[in-house]
Amino acid sequence: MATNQTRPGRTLAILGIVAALLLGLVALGGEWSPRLGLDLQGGTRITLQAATTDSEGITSEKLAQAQEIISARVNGSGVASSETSTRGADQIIVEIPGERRGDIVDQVGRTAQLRFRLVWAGPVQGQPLPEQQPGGGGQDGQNGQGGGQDGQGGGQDGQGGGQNGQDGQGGGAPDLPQTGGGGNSVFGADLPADTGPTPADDPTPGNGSSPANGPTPDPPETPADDGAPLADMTVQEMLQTTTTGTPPQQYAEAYAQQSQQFAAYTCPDEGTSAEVADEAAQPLITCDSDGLKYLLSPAVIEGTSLTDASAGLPQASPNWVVNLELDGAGTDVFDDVTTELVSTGRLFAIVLDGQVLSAPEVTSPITNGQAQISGGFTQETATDLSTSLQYGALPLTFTVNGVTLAGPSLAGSQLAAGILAGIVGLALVVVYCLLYYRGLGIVVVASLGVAALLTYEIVILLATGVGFTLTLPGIAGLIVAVGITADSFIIFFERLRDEVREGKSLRLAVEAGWKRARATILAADAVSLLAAVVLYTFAIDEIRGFAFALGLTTVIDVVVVFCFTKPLVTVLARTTFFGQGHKLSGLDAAHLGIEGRKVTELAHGARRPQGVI
Amino acid sequence: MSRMSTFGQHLYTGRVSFDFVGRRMLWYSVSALIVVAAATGLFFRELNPGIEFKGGVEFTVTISPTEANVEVVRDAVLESGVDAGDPIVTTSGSDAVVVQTQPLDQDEANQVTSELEAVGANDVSQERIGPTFGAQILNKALLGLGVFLGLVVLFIWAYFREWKMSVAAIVALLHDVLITVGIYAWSGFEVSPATVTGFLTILGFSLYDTVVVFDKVRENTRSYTTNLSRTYEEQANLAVNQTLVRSINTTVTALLPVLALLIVGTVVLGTGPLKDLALALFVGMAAGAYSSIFIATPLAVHLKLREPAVKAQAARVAARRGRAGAPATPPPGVEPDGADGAASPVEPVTTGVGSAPPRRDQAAPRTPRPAGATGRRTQPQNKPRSQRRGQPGRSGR
Repeated sequence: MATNQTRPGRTLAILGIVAALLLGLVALGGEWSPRLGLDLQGGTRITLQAATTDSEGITSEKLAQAQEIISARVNGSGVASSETSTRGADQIIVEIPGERRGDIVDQVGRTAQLRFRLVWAGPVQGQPLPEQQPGGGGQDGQNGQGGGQDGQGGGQDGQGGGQNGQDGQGGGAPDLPQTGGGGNSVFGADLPADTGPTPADDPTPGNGSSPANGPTPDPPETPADDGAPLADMTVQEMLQTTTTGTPPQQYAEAYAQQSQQFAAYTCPDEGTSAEVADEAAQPLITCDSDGLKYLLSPAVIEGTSLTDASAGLPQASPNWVVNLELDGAGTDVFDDVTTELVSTGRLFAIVLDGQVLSAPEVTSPITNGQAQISGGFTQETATDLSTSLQYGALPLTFTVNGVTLAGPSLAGSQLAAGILAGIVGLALVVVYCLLYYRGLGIVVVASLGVAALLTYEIVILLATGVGFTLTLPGIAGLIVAVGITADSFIIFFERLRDEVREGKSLRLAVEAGWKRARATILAADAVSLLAAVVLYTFAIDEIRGFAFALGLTTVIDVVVVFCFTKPLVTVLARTTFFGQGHKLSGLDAAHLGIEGRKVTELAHGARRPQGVI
Repeated sequence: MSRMSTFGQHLYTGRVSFDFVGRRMLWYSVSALIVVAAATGLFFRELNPGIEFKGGVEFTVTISPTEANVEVVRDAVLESGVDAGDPIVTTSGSDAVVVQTQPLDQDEANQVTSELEAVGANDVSQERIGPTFGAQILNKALLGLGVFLGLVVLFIWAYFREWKMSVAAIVALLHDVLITVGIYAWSGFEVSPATVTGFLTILGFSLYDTVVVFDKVRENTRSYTTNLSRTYEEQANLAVNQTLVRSINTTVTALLPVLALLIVGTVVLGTGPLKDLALALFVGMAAGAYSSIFIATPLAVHLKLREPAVKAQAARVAARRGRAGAPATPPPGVEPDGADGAASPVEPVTTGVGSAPPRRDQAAPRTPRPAGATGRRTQPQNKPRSQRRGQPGRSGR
C-alpha cells in the first residue's frame, strides 16, 4: 500500500470506465429492462421428467434430441415465443412467456413412438366381463360404413378397412366386442382371421370371450432357458409366425411364454392407456383404446423410418386419418410385410407409445411406402398426432412433473411486491448506516449505488447475452444481497475505527484497517460464493435465481469494496470533513469513543511517521 | 448512536467485557433450551408441507379475498364436474384466494380453471405438481446439505488450520438449522422449495458470521504463547467482544432487507417464495449471529483448552498474576504500536490491546510513557481479570 497516494484516483477512474463500458454495451443491446421470469410476467412452464424404455438409460444425446423435438412441437403449436431447455440429467423444461397454454401440456411430452408390429394373437377382449351391456345394434351401423370404405381400391385400402373396425368402436364404443361371438363379427368384414385358427397356437380363446372364462390350456411352464429369445427373430421369421401361427422351432419356448402372459393379461380401464414397456426388439402385449388386447411381434418398422406425416380427410369418409410416408428401408420392409400378409387375413398393428392405434388387415400389397392410420380421429386429434409424428418420436418417455400457469395478475403483484420489498429493504439499510456511521454512511450509500448499477448492467447483459431471466426468488436474492454487501463495508469501517482506537491517525488507520478487513471480507465472501454455488447446483430450477443472484452480488461486492469503497475512503480521509474528524463524519473522536486526542493525531506514545500528516 | 460507538470502544479495549467464553456452560444451556423449544415445534406442530411436496394442483385465483369469495371459489371448484377431492381454500395476501386440490390431470385442471374464471376471477394461475416432484427436491436438498457440510469442514480446516474450529463451526451450523426448522414448524408456514433453499442458505450465512469472529480470535491468539498478559481464553473472549459491535451491525443490516421481504411477502402476497424464503433466512441469520458468539467461539475455546500448550500458557499467566505488579510489560506492548503498524500487520492487535488502557486512562491521559504506563496498566485490568481468575484453571482441568 506504499503507493496509496496515487492509487485511489486511478482505481476509481478504472471502475468508472468499466461501469461506463458496461453501460455502453447495455445501450448497444438496446434492452433497458431485465428479462422477467414467468412468475413475474405470467406464462406457462412445463417440467417434463424423462424415463427410458431401454437398457441404455437416459443419455445426454437422447435428452438433447428430445429437447429439440419438444421445442419444435411447442413452436408448431402456435405460441408466440417459447424456450425449451434441459435441466440436470433427466428433465426438460418448456417455458412459454406471457401465455397460459394448459391445452398443449399433454401434447408436448407425448412420446409419439410409432412402430409397426405384426399381430400374433388377438384382438380379443382384454377386460373382465362385468358391467358392459351387449348393445347389439351399435356395431352394425359402424360396420356397414367400414365395409363401404373397404370397398375402395388402392394400396391403402387394407388399412382403411382395418381401421373401420376401429372407427366403429370409436363411435359405437364399448359394447362392441361383447356381442356374443361378436368379437368376430365386428371385425368380420376385415378380419377373416378370426374365422381361421387363431394366430396364437391356442392360449387365446380367440373370439372375444374374456380370459376369465376362457379355458386356457396352459402351455408348458418350462422357462425359456434353452430356446432362442424372440428378440433374435428376423422379419421373415416373424412373418412366418404370423401367417402360420407357430414360430420356428427354436423360438417355441419363448413364444409359449408370451402366449401365456398374453392369456393372463388384463387391459386397463376404459380411457386409460396401458402401461407397457414398448421396446422395439421385444414382443409386446398391449391393448387398443377399446380394451382389446393383442400379442404383437417385435417391431418390424420403427417410427424413425417415417419421413412425413400429415392429417387428412379421405374421400367419402367422415373420419380423419393420418397419412404416413416411409423412407426407403421402411418402404421395403413394409412391401415385404404387406405382400406376405395379403389375403391371409393376418393383421399388422400400428402402435403408438405402446398402444395399438389400429390393426388393419392387408388387402393388397403396399409398395410405395405410404400408409394410413385411422381410428376415431377428429380433425384436432389427427392434426395433433401428425404433428407429434412429424417432429419425430421422442427417444425417451416423459411424464409431466409439474405445470405452472401464471396469470398476469398474480405475476404483476409478485413483481410489485418484489420491487416494494427491495425499496423498503434498501431504505432500511441506508437509514441504519447513516444513523450509525453518519458521514461514512454516505460511503455506504454510494457503494450500494455502485453495486446496484453494476448488478443492473450485468443482469441486463446476461439477459441479452445468455437469456438470463429475473425471477421472484432472483429478486429476493438481490434484496438479501443488499445486507451482505453492506456487511463488507461494515467490516471495513469497524476495522478502520479499531485502528483509530488503537492510536493510529485516521489516514494510517484507513490503510491498516483495510489490510485487516481485506482478509476477512475475502474469507466471508468466499463462504458466500461457496454457498451460492452449492445452492445453485442443488436447487430446483424455480429457486435457482436466488442462488444465482447471491453469487453474482457476492462477486460484485468484492469488486465494489476493492475498487470503490476503499479508494473512496482513502480519498475522503484526505478531505477536511472526514480527515479532520468532523462531528458529522462518523469519524470524530467522540463518536469513536476515544478521548484525549483528535483523530488526526497519533495516540500518545506512538511514533509519528514522517510526512504522513 | 454515538453511545453505541463509545460502547464499541469500551468493548474494544476490554473496559466493558461480556464473558462469552468463560460462562459457556450458561450459553450452552440457553441454546439447549432454545433448540428444545424449537424442536418441540417439529413434534407438536410438524412441518406443513406445501403443494410441491404433497402433489396436487394449486390454483391462485385473483379475486378479492373475502369470506364470501372463498365460498364462491369453493363452490366453483366443487361444481366444476371434476373430482377435486376436498379442496382447501384460503385467502392469500391482499388480492388472491388459493385453492389446493388433489392431483388432477391437465384437462381436469383446465376445466377447474375455466369454471373459476366463469365465477368472476380475474385470472387463475395454476401450479400442477407431479407426484415425484417433492421427493426430487428433497433428495437434491439432502444431497446439497451433505456436499455443503463437507465443503464447510474443508473450507474451515483450510482457512483456520484447526479442526477444533471446524467442529465448533459445524456444531453452530447444526444449532442454527435446528432452531430455524423448529421455528418454521411453529410458524405454520408451508414448506416449499423456497423454504428448503432458505434452510440451505442459512448454512452459508451462519458460517459467514462464524468466519468473521474466528478470524479475530485467531488474530488475537496468534502469539498467545509469548504474550502473558492474557490467557488464550481471555484473548478469545476479547476477540468476541471486539467483534461484537461489528456482529451486531452486520446482523442488523443483513436482517433489515430480509425483514422487508418477510413483511411484504406475508402482507402483500400471502403465499409464494418470498415469505417462505424470508422467514427461513430471518430466523437462520439471527440464530447464526447468536451462535457465532455464544456457541461457536466458546466451543472452539473449550476444545482448545484441552491442549497442553494452552494449559501451560494459562498457568504461566496465572503465576505471573500471582506476582502482582511485577515485570508485567511485554515490550512489544508499546513499541510497534502505531509507529509501524502499517508495516507489520501481525502484531498490533495483541500489543494494541495491551497498550490501550493507559491511553484511555482519564486520570493521566498523557502520562510519560515508560514508567507511568507500566505502572498504571495493571490497575484497570486487574479488576475484570480478578473476576475471571480461576476460570482458566477450572476449565483446564
